[in-house]
Amino acid sequence: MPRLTRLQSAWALYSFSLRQHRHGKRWITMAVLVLLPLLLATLSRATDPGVADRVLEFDLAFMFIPQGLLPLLALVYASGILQDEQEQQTITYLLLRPISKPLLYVVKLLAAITAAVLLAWVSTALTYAVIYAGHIHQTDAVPRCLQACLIDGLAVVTYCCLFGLLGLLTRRALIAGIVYIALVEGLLANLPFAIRLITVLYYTRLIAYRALPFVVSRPFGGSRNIAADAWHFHVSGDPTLAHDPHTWLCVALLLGGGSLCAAAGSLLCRNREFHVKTADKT
Amino acid sequence: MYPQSVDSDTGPAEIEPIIAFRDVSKWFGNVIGLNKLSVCIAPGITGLLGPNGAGKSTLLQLATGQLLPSKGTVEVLGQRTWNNPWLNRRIGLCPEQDALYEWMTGVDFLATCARLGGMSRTQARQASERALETVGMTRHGNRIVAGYSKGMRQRTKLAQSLVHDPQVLFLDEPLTGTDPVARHDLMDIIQRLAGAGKSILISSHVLHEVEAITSNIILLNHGRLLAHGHIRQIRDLMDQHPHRIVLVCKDCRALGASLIQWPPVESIHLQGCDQFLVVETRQPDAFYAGLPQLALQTNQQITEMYSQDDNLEAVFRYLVPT
Repeated sequence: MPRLTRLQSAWALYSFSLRQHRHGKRWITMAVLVLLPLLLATLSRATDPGVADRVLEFDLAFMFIPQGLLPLLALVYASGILQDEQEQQTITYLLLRPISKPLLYVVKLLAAITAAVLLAWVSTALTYAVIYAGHIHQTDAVPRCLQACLIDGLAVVTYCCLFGLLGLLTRRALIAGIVYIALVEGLLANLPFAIRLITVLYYTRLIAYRALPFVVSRPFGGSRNIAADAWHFHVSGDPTLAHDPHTWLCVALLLGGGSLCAAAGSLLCRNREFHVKTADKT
Repeated sequence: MYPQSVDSDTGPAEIEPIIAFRDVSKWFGNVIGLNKLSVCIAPGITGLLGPNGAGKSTLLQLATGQLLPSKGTVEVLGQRTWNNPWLNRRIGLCPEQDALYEWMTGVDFLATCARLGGMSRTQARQASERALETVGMTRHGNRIVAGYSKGMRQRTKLAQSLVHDPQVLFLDEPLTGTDPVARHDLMDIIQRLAGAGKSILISSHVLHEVEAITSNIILLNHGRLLAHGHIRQIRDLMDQHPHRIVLVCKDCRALGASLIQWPPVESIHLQGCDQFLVVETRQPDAFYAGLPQLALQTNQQITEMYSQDDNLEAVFRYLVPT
């Protein structure tokens, strides 16, 4: 098959898949998820006007969004990459085109990543806008927001690849994904032990810790690093976290892990029968 | 015990087959979809017949590379079908399931299918308009698919299988659920496509539908090939079954009394309030040759005579014991 034709097919599939993400009931779920941190920021501001910007930013942009929103976004978008098409019996229209199944999977995964990353960025940007409303230009909120978006994007890419693979391994990918989010990213990532090395959250937190200062003043003088406390980083003897993986290693591990999952998914697709049940079946 | 198939290995034609199943079996866990199927299908229209669960859709999914045979090989246009996306440029499938992207318009859906096939935006637009015209949907192309009637949906599914101008078409129950007008139109479209040089394998469990389109059939039951060939050829092979011939005359009782004593006749049944007779014979040639003489001798005027065995219902009745 000529390379140009293959590229045209792949591009058509990518744009079609993006359009698919704009339709259906999924949008309602997505809107609720994306607006949730915004709502929480507004509520916090309304109920406790005295709360420090940095504390609110940390709680929402670096605790709630990465731990709750991002994996859920990725789960909803990526776990049904081909499963949804199979359940809706429309996968036949894709399988009957001159696109190999591994390419079909990878392109649809890229479309899912695009949709999830864009939504994550919208959510993060809106949350920052509410937290720093009125004085956003007087602070370092804009560069912090950009960095937070980059870290979120990295996490979403990894989660999407992971949940995409999960969607191929089990029909109950949503349930399995929620269990993973709760147990691995929710529980293990918050334990101060080496077990957290298997979580996505740990690496994104390391990157965020090194990229952004999370120091806030204490009410009675002095300051503290809220990230180090909340994320159980042992900074007392190792303030730069020199014994933990370096930032570039974290990025490489996240992207490498994601790539491995994507490659495994495309390999699984290659020999997978996406059987559509008909009335003909005994 | 099933009758032997007409052509179990090479198919009815000596010309290069477009579709070849060689000793193909397909299992779904403990359920067997196809059982040691060997059949070669020549160009033209071929009807794929069998009751629900016979394996028709499994056969089509194997032929279109959606399923991997558990055993044996499947080739279309001389190429293996499994994991061969290049072949998809030359084949089209109208699937049985009534699933479409409901949020799209007809023309948008077809253009997307064309673009997935590697066409440019302009080519895809032109191809989708052409396909819509072929299936008589030009007027409705800009409507959302969700608002389509069953007939329109079937036409749209047919159009997507045509949009890239394939050489071989696989149509899985394309007439299911359509009203008589749509059915007639679709049958007409299918025949026109065959006239335009496309080879078509059409599955159905409604025998007369297929009979109106083609005389060349494949009969399946429980995943096995029962018969393959021309309806008449298949019927001729079934000499162990009596032929059923309908006779319409003024005094059927009198004619029946004469016929029952005639050696070629096996049995007679008076039907339709004695309006016609159904005669069963194992010697149809002798029956047809001697009937005029018998009618003259008994002074009975036979106004109508036809065989019930030249249609698919009869063939199917014989081949698929109930």
